Amino acid sequence: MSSKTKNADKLSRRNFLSLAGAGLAASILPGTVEAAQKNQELATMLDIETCINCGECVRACRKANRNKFPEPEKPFPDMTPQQRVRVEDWSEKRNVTDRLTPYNWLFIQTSKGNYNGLDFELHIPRRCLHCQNPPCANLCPWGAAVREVNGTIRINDKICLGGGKCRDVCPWLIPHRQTGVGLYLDLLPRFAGNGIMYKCDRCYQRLTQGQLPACIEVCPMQLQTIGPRKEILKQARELAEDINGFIYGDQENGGTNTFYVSPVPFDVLNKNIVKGPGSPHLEPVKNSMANSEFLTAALVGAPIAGLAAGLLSLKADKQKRNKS
Amino acid sequence: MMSQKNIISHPWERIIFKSSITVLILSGLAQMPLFKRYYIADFPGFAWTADYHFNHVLHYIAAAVMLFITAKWALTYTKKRKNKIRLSISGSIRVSLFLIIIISGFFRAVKNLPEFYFSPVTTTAIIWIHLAAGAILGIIALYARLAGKNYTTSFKSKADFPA
Ligand code: SF4
Ligand code: SF4
Ligand code: SF4
Repeated sequence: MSSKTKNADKLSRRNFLSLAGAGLAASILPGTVEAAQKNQELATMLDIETCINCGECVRACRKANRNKFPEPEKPFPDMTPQQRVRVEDWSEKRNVTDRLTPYNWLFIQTSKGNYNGLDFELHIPRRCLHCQNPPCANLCPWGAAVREVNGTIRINDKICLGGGKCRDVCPWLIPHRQTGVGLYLDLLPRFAGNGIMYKCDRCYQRLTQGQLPACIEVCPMQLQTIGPRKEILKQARELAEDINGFIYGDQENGGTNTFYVSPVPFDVLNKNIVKGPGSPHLEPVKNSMANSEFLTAALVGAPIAGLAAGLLSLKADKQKRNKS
Repeated sequence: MMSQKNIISHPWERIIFKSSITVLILSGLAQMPLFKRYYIADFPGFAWTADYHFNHVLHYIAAAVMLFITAKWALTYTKKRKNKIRLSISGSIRVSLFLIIIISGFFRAVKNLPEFYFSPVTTTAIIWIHLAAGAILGIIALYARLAGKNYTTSFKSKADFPA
């Protein structure tokens, strides 16, 4: 894609959006509120080709969620064993915006490269994808990470102990820890816990008040669309078809509620992004909880089989008794 | 002969039951991010204790085995009650806690299915009940073992029901 063609493409897309904009906003906004009130599963679509990397969404996220950010008590309590439990302190680095931190739940990842002989530069807003089958919530041993009825995955900062299992089991290592805050301080700070884990909570309070998440509302390009999952997925597929593009997030980890639509394949984007702590990959991800259904079926089947075995053995006993 | 002695459990069942409980306790504890922190996963052959997904699956499998035996015993016990086997007070407390763990554990499994939904408060409550009942049962079972309390009355032999 030459930058000229790309811009022309962008323009036509932008026109489409601005033409559709009024209708889109009118149809999506009340739809979202209604869906949120009806407790429907909500999803977002991100048309990444339109992102101009202005950073408005990142700033809006930080502003909207400022009151949820950690205010750690210092000095941090000693933790045992010191070599194993690292203090993770972002409180002096609150201004970092080029990666995920406890104070930055959204950042813009840039992928620059060449695809099909054409140069591209695309910007990808990255945050929690709000998985449909979220290992962070399913495996949280303490009940702090939970799934809301509208599909938002949220870490309850009143309960979280900061053990960080949610990050270890998240395919994108999304949640980030701040040491020195939270419930662990009131329990056994030396021996268990290490703060609170933070990540995008899809502006859940704003959603319940009928407002859009801050990052969606502020984007000058109206890059994100939020609404009932089925409709948004349909739109994402239509857009992908329209631009001959690709979707990321619909299948990943068994399905998420975030659909990135890109004109460049995600494996190509993935090769051209900085990956590392706080900067997640764009690789294909298998459903890490795929065996849950089969295992739950085993939990139902096992006692039934046990009862049957009990009946059989009682019957055998009776027969023995009758014989003797 | 078993039927004459009113035995509820076979020795092989007790071995399998106890093994499944051991695995449940270990894989349950391994759900906490502590085994790596405290170097347990560093011991040769113990790396699995820090593998969350593995322990998750292991917990389910051990639970299925335990539920099979429990259901079989429950049925046999109901039948043999007519033959005057009764749970002792200590036995009743332990069995009740055990039931709470089973029921809350089942709800935990259901909550992990994307098709089912529990509110955040319910989710947290289920998890805390499961954890608390497990911890209390652990303490009571230890006490019962040390104090030589039996599960059942009417038979002095420990072999009537597993400790
Ligand atoms: S992306 Fe990670 S943190 Fe977000 S819901 Fe999925 S597993 Fe949880
Ligand atoms: S939905 Fe809210 S919390 Fe999540 S990235 Fe957007 S602004 Fe931040
Ligand atoms: S506000 Fe919109 S255009 Fe600006 S960086 Fe965020 S997603 Fe991109």
